[in-house]
Amino acid sequence: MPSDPPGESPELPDELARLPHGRHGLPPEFVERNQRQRLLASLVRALADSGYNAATITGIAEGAGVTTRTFYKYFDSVEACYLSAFDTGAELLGERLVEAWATEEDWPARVRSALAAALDFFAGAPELASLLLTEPFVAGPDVAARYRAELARLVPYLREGRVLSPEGPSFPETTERGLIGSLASRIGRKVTAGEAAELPSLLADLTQFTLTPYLGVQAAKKAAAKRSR
Amino acid sequence: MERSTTPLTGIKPGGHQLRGEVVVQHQRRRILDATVELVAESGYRALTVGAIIKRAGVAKLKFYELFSSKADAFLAALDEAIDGVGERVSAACEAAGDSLPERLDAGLGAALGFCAERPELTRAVVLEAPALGPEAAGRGEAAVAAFAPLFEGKIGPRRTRRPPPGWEEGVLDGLYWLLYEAVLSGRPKRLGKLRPAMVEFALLPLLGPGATASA
Repeated sequence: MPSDPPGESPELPDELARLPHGRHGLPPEFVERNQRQRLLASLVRALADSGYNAATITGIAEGAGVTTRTFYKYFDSVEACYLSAFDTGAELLGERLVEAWATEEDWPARVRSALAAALDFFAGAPELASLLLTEPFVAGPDVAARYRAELARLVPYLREGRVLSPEGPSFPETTERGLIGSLASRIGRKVTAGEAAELPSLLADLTQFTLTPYLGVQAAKKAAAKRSR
Repeated sequence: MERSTTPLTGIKPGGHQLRGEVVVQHQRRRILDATVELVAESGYRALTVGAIIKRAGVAKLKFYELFSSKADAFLAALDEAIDGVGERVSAACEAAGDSLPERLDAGLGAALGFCAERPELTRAVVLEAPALGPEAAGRGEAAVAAFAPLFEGKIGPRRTRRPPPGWEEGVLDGLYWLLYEAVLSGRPKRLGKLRPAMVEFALLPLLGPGATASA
């Protein structure tokens, strides 16, 4: 997704002035700056307040302090606006994951580190967590397909672990997709239950679950408990 | 629609009561089937009560005697699907005995068989139930319970290792995701091929190298 050039000023500075500031937990990509980002931020709030089904163009525009006409300048539907927010959020998360992955050298430690980063990310921005993890299913198959494609991008990282198991080469093709889908579902359920803040406490269990097929129960448990550097 | 029906039963005055119940059951069936078809075709959000009654060939009044809303009708279809798959899984697992791999194989085979026989129901439930949002509260637990018999077996005499914490939940989530992906792909034939991969996915954490070494 092309990012907005810095300094691209909204045409309606008086509306910008009325913008609510510093929404808790939302990364800067979702905070004001320009009309487009304000619309995305407004969408995220609307989803958090009443879910995808209740989101309307009028509501999103109002929340961003712009007219529906302005909305249509950037997006032609709620779904388009949603997808843009989804992509922005997924990109942010992806950056954090890659960063966390690179801080470690051993594969098990890398998995743990990336999982820790994901859990912290979602715990710090529950609204974004539900946008990324639960709303895609509400929004329908087209959006779910995008979610599925994002998860698939993580597969190669996990697949690296196959070399650590003698049976690795014969694991079913679907193994990594199943593991990643499972992690996302479990995290999503916590978020839906309003327990996003507790996500970091799942780190050891989720790491162990992910590593076990590759390392076996005991070694996975050890690797999951290891503190990162 | 019949002209002189009573509002409550839709049956002509003087009609036999048993027959009345049969007719109501039949109408209910038609409404549920129509709901599933429509949801599979164009999604839950696009569903309207008007479309349901048109497809089912029942009067609006009759619909509202049996269901309070489109969500109510879709939820009833969802509950029926969960019950249906649960019965199949439970029967297959029971017949398979108490070996975990065999229970998984039989139970997952039964679940996938159910999905393959009813592609529309599967599509509607798997892809569109989440659109119900909070209205579908409790169905997640019911679905988990429907698959519980899968995990009620023993790993085998030599492998008495206890599964890692959260194993069942994690495995079920993973299995459901694989099913979701296959349904999303719109190629129902994929479902049949999933069975061995699913069984192995469930067993990997238990039969991995560590398990064999220290069992």
